[in-house]
Amino acid sequence: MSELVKLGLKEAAEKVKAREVSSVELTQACLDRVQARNGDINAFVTVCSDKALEMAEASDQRVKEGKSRLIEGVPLGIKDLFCTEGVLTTASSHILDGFVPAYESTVTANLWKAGGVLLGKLNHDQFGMGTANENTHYGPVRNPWAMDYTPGGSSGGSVAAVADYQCMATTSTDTGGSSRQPAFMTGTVGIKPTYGRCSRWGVISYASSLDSPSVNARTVEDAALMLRAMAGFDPKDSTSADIEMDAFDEDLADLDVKGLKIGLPTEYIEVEGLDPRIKQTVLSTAKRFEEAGAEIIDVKFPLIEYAVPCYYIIAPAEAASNLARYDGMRYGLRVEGENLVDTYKKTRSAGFKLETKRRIMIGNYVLSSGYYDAYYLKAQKVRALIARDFQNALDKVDVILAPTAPTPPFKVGALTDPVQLYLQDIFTIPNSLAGLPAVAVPSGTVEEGGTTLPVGIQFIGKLFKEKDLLKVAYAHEQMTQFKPLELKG
Amino acid sequence: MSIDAKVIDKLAELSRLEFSADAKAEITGDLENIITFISKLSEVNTDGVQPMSSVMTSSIEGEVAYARERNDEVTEENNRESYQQTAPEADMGFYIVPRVVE
Repeated sequence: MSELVKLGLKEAAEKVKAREVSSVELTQACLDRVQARNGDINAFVTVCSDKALEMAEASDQRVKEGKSRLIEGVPLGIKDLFCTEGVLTTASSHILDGFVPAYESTVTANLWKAGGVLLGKLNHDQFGMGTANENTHYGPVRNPWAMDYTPGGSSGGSVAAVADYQCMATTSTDTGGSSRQPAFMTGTVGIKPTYGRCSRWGVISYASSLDSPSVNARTVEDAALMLRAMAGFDPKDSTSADIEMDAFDEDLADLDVKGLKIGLPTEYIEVEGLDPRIKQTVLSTAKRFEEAGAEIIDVKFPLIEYAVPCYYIIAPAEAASNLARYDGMRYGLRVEGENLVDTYKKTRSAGFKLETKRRIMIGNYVLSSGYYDAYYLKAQKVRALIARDFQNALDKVDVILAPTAPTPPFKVGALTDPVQLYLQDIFTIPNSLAGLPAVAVPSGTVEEGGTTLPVGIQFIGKLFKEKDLLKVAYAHEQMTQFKPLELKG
Repeated sequence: MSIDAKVIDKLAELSRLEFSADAKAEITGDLENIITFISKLSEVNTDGVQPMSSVMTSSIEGEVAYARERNDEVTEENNRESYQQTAPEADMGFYIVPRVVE
């Protein structure tokens, strides 16, 4: 196996620009790796061999002409929720069978403008709905750390592909934790930027008031560079923010930990069901920062136990509305019925998996007359209170340190009860409701029945202050010296 | 919380979904558990709280407000042909749907 696949995003782009390696060589190395591993890991649902090599050749040409771009020639994996012009886009569902978009999402268009190469489209829980990457038409993704474990979800393919050295960085989406929980499960980095930082135009919608195009990579610096290439104001998305953007990947080491104020929410680490090893991981992180001169400050989140129920009203309500468009008439699957309504029903029943159906049904329940005030309106009020708690906390501190998931990684098929699965997102949902950015970073490993598995923490930051947040994540990375999974296979 | 078969049937109709008898029993149980779980929200006192429908328009004091208005202009091009290429059935610029008029 070519050692080229071990290069990170930043390093690979530098090498391509310096003509130490060509984009074609790099892309071929990743394609070979995907071919050798995809049968086991199942991270990719579509591999774009021809297109990737074509884009790589164009990249090499630009380098020759002295027209190199930010992430020149680096192969990237794209979650299959991002529309890619002329390339099959399925949302990992049966209902979008054969859907080849006639348009490119703004985020992916930005990546290609920055010199990126489309390696392929990544598996995930369909429409972003799931926490174990099992709610997919294309079969579960496996965790490269241990094949009988899940890489988490929904962005399981996005993390498995980078953890397994199949590409240098990937896009993901994060509605309630879908880039961070999988990052935690695979010893990789996941950034959920501020809501509005990355355009949602051309990203298949799940819950529009929460969906955040996100990033996965093996290091903080690479994830930061990827975010820089993806993000930016987009007039085509009415929720895109016209707010100045930093060069997220530069000067990451430029942080004086001395005097840094880190919020430690007692309610997060006292949550029932939190594995003591995860709690310890958070406390050790706090201690390391404290020893380096940071101030650890207690912050209050009295409503944490209500965040998941709040999310499971708002997200399904938005999902039920968004997914109403899949009617078998305009794109994808159609299963003929006896009449129009019967065709809708047969198409949707065959096209969605069970968890998707549950969320559509719940969404229609909480929006239906007689229940609207008790559920949907109530959830919007609780959301406001949760956002207020974050604002109060972030008035006092620079960042908040929190667990990413309540337990170490678990096995494929281990969790079947929906509510139990929903509670996996207890630590990632609250700041998503408030629109705040967060970054999940690995910390170390634990032993589970003789298997070594990664664990980590997350930092939550202020609106649009991703750069400050990433500096703290970078400092954490330097302190822990976490060793990613070794290249194997 | 228990949900009767009528509610499930109504939700399935609203959702344009259909379930076999076994699947219906399963989803009824799931929905009962989920609704019990989300009903916890009634414990929170939200008197006088303004609902938050979007991060961008939330009225949290001192927070960055970044919602914006756009001009009322048509910016989309006519892409009918390329969009209809993804349709299960389209002809002469029309989507072909099952007969709705007898």
